[in-house]
Amino acid sequence: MAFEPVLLKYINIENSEKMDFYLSHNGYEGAKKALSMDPKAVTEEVKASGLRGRGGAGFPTGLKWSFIPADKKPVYLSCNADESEPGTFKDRYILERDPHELLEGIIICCWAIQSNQAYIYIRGEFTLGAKIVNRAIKEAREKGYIGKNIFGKGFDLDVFVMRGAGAYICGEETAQLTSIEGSRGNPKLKPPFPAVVGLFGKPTIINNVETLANLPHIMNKGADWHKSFGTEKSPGFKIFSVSGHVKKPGNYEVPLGTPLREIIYEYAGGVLNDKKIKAVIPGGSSTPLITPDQLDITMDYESLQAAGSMLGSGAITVLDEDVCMVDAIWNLMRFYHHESCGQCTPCREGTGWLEKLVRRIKMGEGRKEDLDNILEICANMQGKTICVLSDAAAMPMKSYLNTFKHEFEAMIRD
Amino acid sequence: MSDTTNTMVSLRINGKEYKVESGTTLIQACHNNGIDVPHYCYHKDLSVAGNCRMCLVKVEKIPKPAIACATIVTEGMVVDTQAPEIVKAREGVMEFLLVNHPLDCPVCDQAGECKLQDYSYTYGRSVGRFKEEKVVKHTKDFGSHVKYWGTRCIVCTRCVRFTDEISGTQELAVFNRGDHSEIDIFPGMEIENPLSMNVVDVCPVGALVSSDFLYQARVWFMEQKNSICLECSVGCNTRIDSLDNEIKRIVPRDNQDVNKSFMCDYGRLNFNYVHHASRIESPMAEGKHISWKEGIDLFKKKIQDSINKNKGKSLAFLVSAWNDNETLYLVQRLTKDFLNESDVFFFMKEREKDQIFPKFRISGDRNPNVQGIKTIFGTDYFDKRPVKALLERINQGLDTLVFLGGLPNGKVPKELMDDLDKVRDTIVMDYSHSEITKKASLILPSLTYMEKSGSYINDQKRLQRILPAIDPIGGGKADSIVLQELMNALKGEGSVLSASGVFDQMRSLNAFKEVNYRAITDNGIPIE
Repeated sequence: MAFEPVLLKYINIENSEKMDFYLSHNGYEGAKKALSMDPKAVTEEVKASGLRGRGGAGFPTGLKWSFIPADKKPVYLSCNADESEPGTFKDRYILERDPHELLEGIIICCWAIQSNQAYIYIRGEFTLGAKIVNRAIKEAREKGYIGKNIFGKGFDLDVFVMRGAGAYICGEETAQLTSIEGSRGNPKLKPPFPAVVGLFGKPTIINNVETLANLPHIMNKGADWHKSFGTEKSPGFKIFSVSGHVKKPGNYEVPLGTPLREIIYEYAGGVLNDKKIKAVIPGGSSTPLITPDQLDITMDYESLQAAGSMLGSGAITVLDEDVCMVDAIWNLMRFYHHESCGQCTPCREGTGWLEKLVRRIKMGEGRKEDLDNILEICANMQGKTICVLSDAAAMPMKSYLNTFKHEFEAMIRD
Repeated sequence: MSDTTNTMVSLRINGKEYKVESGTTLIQACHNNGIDVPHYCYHKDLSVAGNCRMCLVKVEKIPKPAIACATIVTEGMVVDTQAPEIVKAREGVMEFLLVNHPLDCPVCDQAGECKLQDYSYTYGRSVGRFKEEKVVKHTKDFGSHVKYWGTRCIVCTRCVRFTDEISGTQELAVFNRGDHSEIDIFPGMEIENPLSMNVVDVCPVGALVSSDFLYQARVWFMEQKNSICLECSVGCNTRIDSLDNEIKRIVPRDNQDVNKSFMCDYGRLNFNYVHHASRIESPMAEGKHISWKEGIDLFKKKIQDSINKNKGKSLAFLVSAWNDNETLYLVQRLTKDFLNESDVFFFMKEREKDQIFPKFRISGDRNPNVQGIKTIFGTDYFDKRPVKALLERINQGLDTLVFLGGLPNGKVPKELMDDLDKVRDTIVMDYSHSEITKKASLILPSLTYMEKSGSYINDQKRLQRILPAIDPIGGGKADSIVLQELMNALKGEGSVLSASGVFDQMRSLNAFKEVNYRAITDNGIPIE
């Protein structure tokens, strides 16, 4: 527990969201430094840092930026603040407690991709966060960090807050763009990818809040400093939102590669009422379960992938020994059923079907063949849709059923 | 699509090499080469939505099944449309599509031409596994011609895209989410545009149905005949569906050079005159029914009398722009051979405003064959002989007028009616009783375009064919037949040719020199 938080360093200090406070500890120095560099050099620095997207997919950030075609203008940035993966609440902390860290990251990114227009897409439920970010934008505009000729460097940048209306799907890159464009937030077909044809048909980068918040620190302290944390393939540090049956739920920032056991038992204080763990959701509700025998797994992209799960958004939910797994998955299936946009047939019909099936089992009306049918429905849903919401619903369903089949079977009366 | 480049790309589909234009999608490449790829949301005249997931195919080097509608062909692409995992994926999609579907085929208007039925045959399960409660959605009138059955809807958004892209009227959208998604009209709107019923055609299932056709016939009992629409100068390609010799509906037929897959509601719905009580049952003279032989003899006598009395100077023809090329040509021949060539006048429906939609046009010229008249008689000739010129002629003294109508609902030029009493003798060739038949001394009943063969030329100079869709109602004969019988009677010999036979003679005209009637086919051919 020797790691000193970087992203969340100041969040518990009063007025941490104010410009004066931010400037009092070298705020906006990273942005100034970036703007004195060649944009390509900034991208190279971020590439060298090995920073990977913190929204869930873990795509290398610098590489994503380099997909922007050189000859197509304008370029847009959409900061994804639609944090809605169940269990995830890390971005919210940054929005509410350190918005200037995010704005500085946005400035650095926009300079690197030469975008004069950034949107911060904040989920509808984050009323306070949106208010604070808007206030921070106003402060930054007054300082000349946002607007025309920022930092006197001849570069214009405008930042707007866009509010979501509560749809989970708008956290998906292309759905977010559709929503910003003013349409119903439906995901779009890929290719073309947003970096080439994105917002309003123009090249667009979508980066998560936490990803962007990393940038000022990388600019200030360098790629090598960033790489000194974490593992070779997962450099840096990450905020884990720990919830469920733990004594101290909350956001914990640790270097990537920290063992799951350490995060649960040392940072989060262990399991509530000192019960046993039945399972852990390691990276948000759509990631497959980690079982108690796997608690020594290190929390980095490659280890979780090797274990058949995903680091995802870093939302760790601990389920203790008393949890009914049928009940737990029913809750998730209800969520995905509710949030499917309804475009693609497998997701539109599959999510509803799964919810109804699981509910029936939960109510004691299950039939033997239901379990095989669930697995086949999941197979028919996976990898066949425009976006991955369908997979996000099928993955936990399969994981819960395969890992805790006896609990499902116990609820089926013949 | 091919404006940037029209280079060819070679790819391998199901083990066979094909060369297709670069930039085409995989589904186009397959369909153009006769390879079936099942689909719901894809429609060749609408943008790609990629939501039904039925057109999944296996493409080498793409890890997941790809949708053929949104995959652009690339050089060396290797595609399998029938791989076992693809068939399985489609079976999965088929099952999902029917999960919340009411399976009410026995009472569904779409039955028999439903894509759900068609693909169920190939990819469906014999036993349903869905044992839960189905989602129920609304049933609603979207407008006076379009009804929506939400439970049958598969949310493919073809109808939404039609109103966005083709009509530009934007009445429809998807409302609600997930399996509660349904199509609806925006609050306070109705789908009442002149192209509204195309949403019924583009709907691949029974969700959008025509209020006019609803419960009129089971589609598999109907006779389907290709035709063209005559309601304006565009000449949309159509298919006429009839049951027991009664027309039940007219639907658009694909012709990429004319109407794509669409037509207007006016053309689609205006067929009741074919079965109307005002249809003329048999030739009539002075209010009495006579036989066709008597009719032709009388026609001949009246013409001969008029010629003898006035040396051809006192007989005129008034021909509508609704007549087919063959009839027009025979009128020309008749006047050339037996009468004074200058005695043909033309009338048309009044010009209306063009109605232009983002991707569709309804012409303000509500006549199907102005171009045919211009081609056969010449533009100059046509321009100099409007009804006004005929009226002058009448006022100078006209003995006999032969009227060849053909407009729906017995429409005749109003201005003519005031002066018609000045003409001694009026002979009418038309299919319905009208103001003018009341004043006719001889009526020779003709046929509507749905009962005869012939050709028309649209305003883009496209020569198109009509074929009989139903047997003649009543005792009418095609004008081109009657005119030949008359000419034979005048000559005392000759045979009566079919439309194609007359067309062969018409090839003496420059415009038709290179045209073979049989080569016109169902999609027409451009002339000149």
